[in-house]
Amino acid sequence: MTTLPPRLPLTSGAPGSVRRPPRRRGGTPLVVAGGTLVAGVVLMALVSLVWTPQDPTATDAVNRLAAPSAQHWLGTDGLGRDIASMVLAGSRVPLLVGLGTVAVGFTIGLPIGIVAAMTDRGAGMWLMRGNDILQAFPALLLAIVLAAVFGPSTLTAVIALGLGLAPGVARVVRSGTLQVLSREYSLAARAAGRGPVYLAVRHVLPNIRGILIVQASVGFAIAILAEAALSFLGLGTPPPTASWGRMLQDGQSVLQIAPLTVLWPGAAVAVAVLGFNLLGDGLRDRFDPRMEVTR
Amino acid sequence: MRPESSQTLLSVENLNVSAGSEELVHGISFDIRRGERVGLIGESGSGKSLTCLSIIGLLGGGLSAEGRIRLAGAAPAQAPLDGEPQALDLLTANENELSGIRGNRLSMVFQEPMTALNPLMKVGDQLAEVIRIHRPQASDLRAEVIQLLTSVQIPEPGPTSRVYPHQLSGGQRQRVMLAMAMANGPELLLADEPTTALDVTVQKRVLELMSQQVNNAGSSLLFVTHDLGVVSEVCDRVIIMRHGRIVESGSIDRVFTDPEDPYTRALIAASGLETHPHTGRLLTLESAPEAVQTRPQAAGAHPTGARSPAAEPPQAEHLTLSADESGTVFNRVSEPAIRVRDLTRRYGKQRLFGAGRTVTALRGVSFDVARGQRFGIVGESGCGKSTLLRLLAALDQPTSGEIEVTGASVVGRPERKLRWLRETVQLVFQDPMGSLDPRMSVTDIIAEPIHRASRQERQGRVQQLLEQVGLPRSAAGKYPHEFSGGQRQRIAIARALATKPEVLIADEAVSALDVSVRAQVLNLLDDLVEEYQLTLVFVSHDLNVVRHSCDVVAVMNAGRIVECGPADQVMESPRHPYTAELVAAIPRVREGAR
Repeated sequence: MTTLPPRLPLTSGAPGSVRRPPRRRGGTPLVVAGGTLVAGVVLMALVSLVWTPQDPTATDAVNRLAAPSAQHWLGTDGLGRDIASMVLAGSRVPLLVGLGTVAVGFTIGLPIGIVAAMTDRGAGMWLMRGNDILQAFPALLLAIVLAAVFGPSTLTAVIALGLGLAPGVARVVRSGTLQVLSREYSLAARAAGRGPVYLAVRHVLPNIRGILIVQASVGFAIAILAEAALSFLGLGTPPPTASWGRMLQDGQSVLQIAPLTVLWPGAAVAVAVLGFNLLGDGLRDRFDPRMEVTR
Repeated sequence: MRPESSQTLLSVENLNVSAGSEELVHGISFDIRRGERVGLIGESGSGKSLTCLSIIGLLGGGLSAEGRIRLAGAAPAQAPLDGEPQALDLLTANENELSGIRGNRLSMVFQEPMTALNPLMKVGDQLAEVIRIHRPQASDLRAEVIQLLTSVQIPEPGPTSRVYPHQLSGGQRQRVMLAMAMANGPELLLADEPTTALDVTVQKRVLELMSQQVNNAGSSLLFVTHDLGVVSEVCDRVIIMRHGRIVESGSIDRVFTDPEDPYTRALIAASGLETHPHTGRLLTLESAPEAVQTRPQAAGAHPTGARSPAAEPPQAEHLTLSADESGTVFNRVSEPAIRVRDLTRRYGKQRLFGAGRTVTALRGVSFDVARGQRFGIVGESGCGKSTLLRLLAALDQPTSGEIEVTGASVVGRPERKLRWLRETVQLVFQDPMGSLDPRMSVTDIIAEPIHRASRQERQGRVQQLLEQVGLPRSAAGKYPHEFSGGQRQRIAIARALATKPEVLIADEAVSALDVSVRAQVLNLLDDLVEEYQLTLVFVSHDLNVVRHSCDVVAVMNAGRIVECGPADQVMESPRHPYTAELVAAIPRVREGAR
C-alpha cells in the first residue's frame, strides 16, 4: 500500500495521509500471559523473604511425608520439611541465577557483538571465531567442571551459565549492530566526526534494545531450567538453601510413595520457564523487525 | 485522440476507502472507456494507489472500500450497445469471481518488479502459470511463453525463460511483469508506478513497450504515477487526485495546457521546476497559483536557476572523456575547494590465483570543484556516484588516487587526523527517514556534529538552525517520525549545517520527495548555499534538478565522468553519446502544454 515516493509515507500537511501500520501495543495476549506468570514467580520470591508458612529448613521427624493439612498446606517431604514453604523459598535461587546469568552473559556478549560488528573485517572475524569456540562448549558441561573444581555453589552455576549465554548474545547483537551501522544516520554520525563509542551508545544500543530485551527474557528461561538441572545433579546451590531442582532430587527417592513431593517444585519450574518463554515470544513479536511481515 | 467510444469498461462510483474510522479516499467517481488510457496522478497520500488496489480487489488488511466499481460485461464485440448484461460490481464480487477476472480481464503491474515476481520460480514457469490458470486448454505453453517474452523485447527469450528473477536487471524484470500482465490480453491494465524504480533510460524503453502492448491488445490502461512527464508519454486522459479527492480530470492536452484547479497548476509548475518570473525562485504550492497566472506566455520552456551574479565563478570548460578514456581533468581550476585526481575504487579482494571477484566502482576519475561552485553529478544507478561521495567525505578509502579538500589530502589519513574534515564537509542523504535515528530527538540529531559545547550553546544553535530551515522551534523536542518527508529533509539539512561547513554534499537529497515539497527544499538549499557561502556537490539521477541547482554538471557512466561542463550547455548540446541518451530519455510534460 505504498504510494510514491517509496520510502516516504507522509506528505507535509496532508490530513488523512498519515498511515502507519497498526501499532501493536503492550497488551498482546502472549505478553500478558507471560508477564502474569513471571510476576507471580517474582511475587513468590518477594513474599518468601519476609514470610513463609513454616521455616523451610526445619525438619520434623514425626511428620515425614505428611499429607496436606492446615499446618502443612502441601504436605511435607522425606525429612518432614514443609513443601509449601520450600516451594516459596525455592523461587529465590532460580530468579537470582536467572538474573546473574543474564548479567554475566550480557557483560561478555554485548561488547563482543558490538566490537565485532564495528571493527574491520579481520579483527571482527577473529572475535567471532573465538565466540564460536565458546558457543561450541556445552554450558552444562562447563558448570559441571567448575563445580568439580570450585565446589558446587550458586556463583559457579551463574558463571557457567552466563558463559554459555554470552556467545548467543554476541551473535544477535552483532547482526543488530551491523543493521544499525548500515543505516544512513550512522554514516551521518561518522561524517559528523563522532567516534565508535558515541556511535555504539547513542545509535546502536537504543536501536537494538528490542532484541536485547528478547534475549534477556529467553536467557532467563534457559537459566532457570539449567539451574534446576544443576541442583538436581547436586551441582547447584548446596543445602540447606531451598531450591526447586534439589527438591526434585530429594523427592525422587520417595516418588513411589509420595508423588506429590515432586509435583509442586516441578510445576513451579514449568510455570517460571513458561512465563519467561511466553514473555520472550511476545516481546519478539513486538520488537524483532524480521518478524514484521504483517505490513 | 482516438474517436470517442461510448462503451464504458469500468465505472467507479462514489468510492470511499477507509482505514478504521479514518477515511482516506472520499467518494471519488470516474469512468474508463474501452481502449482509453487514463493517468491517475497524485502525490504521496493522495489515495491514487488505494483507488487502483480497490479496483483489482487487493486492498490490504484493515482497509475497506465502499461504493461501486462496475466492470462491464465481457467481450466488447458481443456486448450489445444498449444493455450491459453481465456488469459486475468488483467491490461486492466474491473471491471466486475476482480470481476469474484478475490476470485475465484485469491485470496489474507493480512498482517493485523484484518483489512482485516469485524469486524461487523460473521466469518462464511464472509466465506459463498465468496462462494455464485462465486458459487451462491452452496448448504449447512453451511457445507462447517464448512469444510473450519476444513481444516485450527480451533478448534471447529461450534462455531467459529458464532463469530466476534475480538474474535479470530491473528493466528486464519489469518487462517480464508486463509480459505476465498482458499474457491473457486483459481488457484493463492497471499499472502502479511501474517505472519509478527504474533508471530514466530504462524507463523510457519500458514505457514505449507498455504503450505498444496496450495498443496492440486494445486494452484500456489505468496508469498510477506521481510523475507528470511519464503520464504525458503514455496517457490520453488524466485524473488529478489530492487528499483522497479528484481535483481535476480531462484530456491530457487540456489539463496540461489550461489547468482549471490551482493545485493542478501548482503541480505542473513544480514538476517542471518553473521559477517565479520576478524572484527567480522555484514555484511551490503556495507561490505557484498567482505566479503562474501572471506568467507571460512566452516564459522560456525551461527554467534556468536564477542566481546572484556577484559570486559567479569563472565559466567552466565543456569537456568530454578523451578517446583513450583517461587523463582528462574536468572543470580544472586553480585553488579548488575539492581536487580529485585519478580516483579509483575497487571492491572485493583479488585472491591468490585470481579466484576473487572484484568490482570496480570508480575508474580513474579526475576533476576540480571551485570554491563556491555548485557542482552537479548525474548518473544512473551503479555509475559510481555514491562511491565517489563517500570517498569525498572520507567515509571510505580509495584503492588509488588522490583527493584534496580545501588544499589538504584526505586519503590514507587516520580518523583522528580528519577532525577538521568532519567540520568542513557535511552530507545530506537521500532517504529522509533512514538518515535520522528514529530514537533520537531532533535536538540531539541536529547537534550531533557539534562537539565540545555546553548544553546552552547547543540548544541555542539548534534553535537558530531550525529557524533557518523553516521549522518551528517546538520541533526541537520531537522525534523524526512526527515529521513529513520534506520536514525530515529539513532536519537533515540543519544537521549538515550545524558546524558551518565549507562543502555540502547532497546525495539525491530531493529524490524521495514529492514534487511540490521538492521545490521548497531546493529553494531552501539555494538560500542556505548563498548564506553559508557553501561549495555544493549535488548528486542526482534527475538532470532537470541538477540543471536548476548547479552551475557545472558532470555526467558519470560506468565509473567514469564522460562529460562535464556548464549545466545549461551540457543539457542543451550534449557531446557524449551517453549524455545525449540521458537527456533524450527524460520524460517531458507534453510539448503542447508549454
